[in-house]
Amino acid sequence: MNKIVDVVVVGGGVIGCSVAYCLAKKGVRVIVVEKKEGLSFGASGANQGGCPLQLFESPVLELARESLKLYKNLSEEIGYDIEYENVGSLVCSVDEKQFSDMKKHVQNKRREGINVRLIEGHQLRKLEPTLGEDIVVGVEEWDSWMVNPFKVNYGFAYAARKLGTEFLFSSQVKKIETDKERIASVITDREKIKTNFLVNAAGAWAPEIGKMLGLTIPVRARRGQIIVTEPVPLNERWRYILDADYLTTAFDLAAVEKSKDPRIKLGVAGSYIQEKSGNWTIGSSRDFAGYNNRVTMQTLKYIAKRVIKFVPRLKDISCIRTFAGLRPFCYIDGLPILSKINNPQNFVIATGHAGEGMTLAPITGKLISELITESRTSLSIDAFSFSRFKNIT
Amino acid sequence: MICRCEEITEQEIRDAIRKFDLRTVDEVKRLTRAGMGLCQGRTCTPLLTKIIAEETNKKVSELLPLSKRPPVRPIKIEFLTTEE
Amino acid sequence: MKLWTSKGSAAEGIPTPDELKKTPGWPSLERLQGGPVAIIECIEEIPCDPCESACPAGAIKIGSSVTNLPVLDEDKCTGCGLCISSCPGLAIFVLHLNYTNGSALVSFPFEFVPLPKVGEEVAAVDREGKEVCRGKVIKILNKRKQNRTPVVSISIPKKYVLVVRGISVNKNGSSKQNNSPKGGNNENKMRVLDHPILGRQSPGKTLNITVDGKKIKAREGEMIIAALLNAGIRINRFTSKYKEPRGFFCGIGQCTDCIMTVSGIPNVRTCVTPVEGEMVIETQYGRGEWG
Repeated sequence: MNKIVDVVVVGGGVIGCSVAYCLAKKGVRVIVVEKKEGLSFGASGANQGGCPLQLFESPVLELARESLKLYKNLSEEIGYDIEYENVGSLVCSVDEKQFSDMKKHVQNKRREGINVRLIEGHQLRKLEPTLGEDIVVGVEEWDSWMVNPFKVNYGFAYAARKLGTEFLFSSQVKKIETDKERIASVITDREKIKTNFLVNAAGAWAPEIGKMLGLTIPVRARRGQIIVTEPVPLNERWRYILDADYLTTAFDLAAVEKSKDPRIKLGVAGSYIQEKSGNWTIGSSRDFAGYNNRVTMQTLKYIAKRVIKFVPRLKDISCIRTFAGLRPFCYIDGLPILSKINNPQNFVIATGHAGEGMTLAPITGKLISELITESRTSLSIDAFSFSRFKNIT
Repeated sequence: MICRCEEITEQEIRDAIRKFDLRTVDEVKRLTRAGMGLCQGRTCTPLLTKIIAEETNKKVSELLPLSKRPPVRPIKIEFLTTEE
Repeated sequence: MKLWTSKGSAAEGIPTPDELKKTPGWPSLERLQGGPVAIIECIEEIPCDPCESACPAGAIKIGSSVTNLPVLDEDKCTGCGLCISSCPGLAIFVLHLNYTNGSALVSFPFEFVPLPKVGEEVAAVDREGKEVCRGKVIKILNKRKQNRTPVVSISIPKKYVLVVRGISVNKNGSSKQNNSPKGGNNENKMRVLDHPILGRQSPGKTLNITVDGKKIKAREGEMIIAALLNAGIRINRFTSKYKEPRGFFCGIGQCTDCIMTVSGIPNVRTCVTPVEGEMVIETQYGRGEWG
């Protein structure tokens, strides 16, 4: 089957659907090709839906702030409730040695204009009795939010469809035809699509698209595992609880390499979100296992051990499901890649969001659509340009 | 009532399938919460599969089954910490 | 002699008179007049032959192929009834047409509880289970040799001898369900202590468990739901969304309808959780309470 369209977006995750929607809003004809029989089969379908504003730093922080503004009106705009909830976030530490890191964190955030508050352990427990005795100190921040990741993904797709976007499922890109430094058409299992632009939003599989163009896209699949519990009554104050390790070792590849602690080696750092249905999603972990998205008992053991320190009552609650997802992680600097490239000129990369895809989806869609249809983007994306990877083959 | 655990009605499920062009049990689960409850789809999956087959004009055998993940039945978080 | 109508064995599982008359297991009307005789209402050619070896007189023959329909040799048959318990399909009966001047005796396998009592008046039912006349229980045979399939013999008006194939016994206890532990001291109100297939039950020692503040009796080791049902408690929880009552449903720990908060822990499946010590059980409203 032959088709002609303005833009082909590869990937039916939250980034792909957001890009499609923002383009469709501008009147662009878009086809989204997704290799699975449905949306959300990558990281978009395996995340907790939490957006912790206080864990972002420049240059991504600016994007996150814009994303928050867009999220606040998103349900109304697309005509579908994405279950946006302003739950705030509490980063807390079970290690006295992290006290200084926490104080520094508060200073940094205040300087960036984020409203944070340091609260000592005993006060925390008074406000939220479910928190554990081991917690020394916490930093709360009230702009953080959570959404229903599936509803965001399908919501964008639904709105895009209403504006004329076509979705092709079970369509894996097999070949990309170029002509004089431009992409001419995309060939999948079943279609050949002539297009003016190709957006690579394939997440953990983005490098495979790059390979078809002789490009190395420095993204690797970083697995994260999650435990889902049975529903329990909602916490009073904080339903989004994070491990202070996120400020220290979780994202520090060098520290993970050096460490002798098996928990840190598996990248286990607490990320606990209680959905409004009452279920807790208990995460999370970071390890590289190729495209293997199965859970491992070792990692689950350390995730479980960690959560009992933070919310001890959860030890008597049942785990009803576990799953793992593959985050697209840029192994050069951990920042997203939102960029055109030199050759082909009409190839746009929109990936590398790692664990921040859900937070940054609305703004990514907006920026990428501007990159394609206008001369400049409303926010600077120089920090996310592909040209920063100078010496990789 | 199709999903007894999450109390999802047949109408909600059919509406979701029609509105979002859903084709798999996994997708229906994600958008309606049917199959996300305590029994993790044990009671409602056969019913869901049948409804999807009807709505998409396919045979039940042609549909992708619900993705199964550990644990096989609910276990206390405490037991996960002792797993070797 | 009254007959019956049905849509046939293929359509509704109940054979028509013609279907039965064609089988080799039905005796002739003449033989029916001459004392008790077996009547084999077997119409499916399946691999099954216990009736052949059950008959001491050799009056039932399956033959070379195990799927053959059993052939009754009505002259050899003495109507002893040993074959009745042997048929897994419960398809063999013994009819004594001339039991008395007015009544016939029908003997049939009866695998329900409670067993009737000898002399009791019962409702005599047809193959569909519908009452056609009243009958009187004359004999109940429940020997070990019958492998736990009791045989009940009832007297009924002669004309129904080809129609009546079972009875319906009046149940004890009321059908009105209520949720409060009633008769809590009658610990065996609904317990089956002598199961027709599983045999005699020996529950553990009696103890008290508390349900919503009230004490009820339970036996150690049995499932919590058994103690609740015995006390007449049919509602285990109320759902989160629509606040509907839920109770015992699948019984195998799958559907999570029977969950309650037990000793502070919510979402406990009472149908697969045994009673241990003096548990404190509460009706769970929605997600339950923390600790």
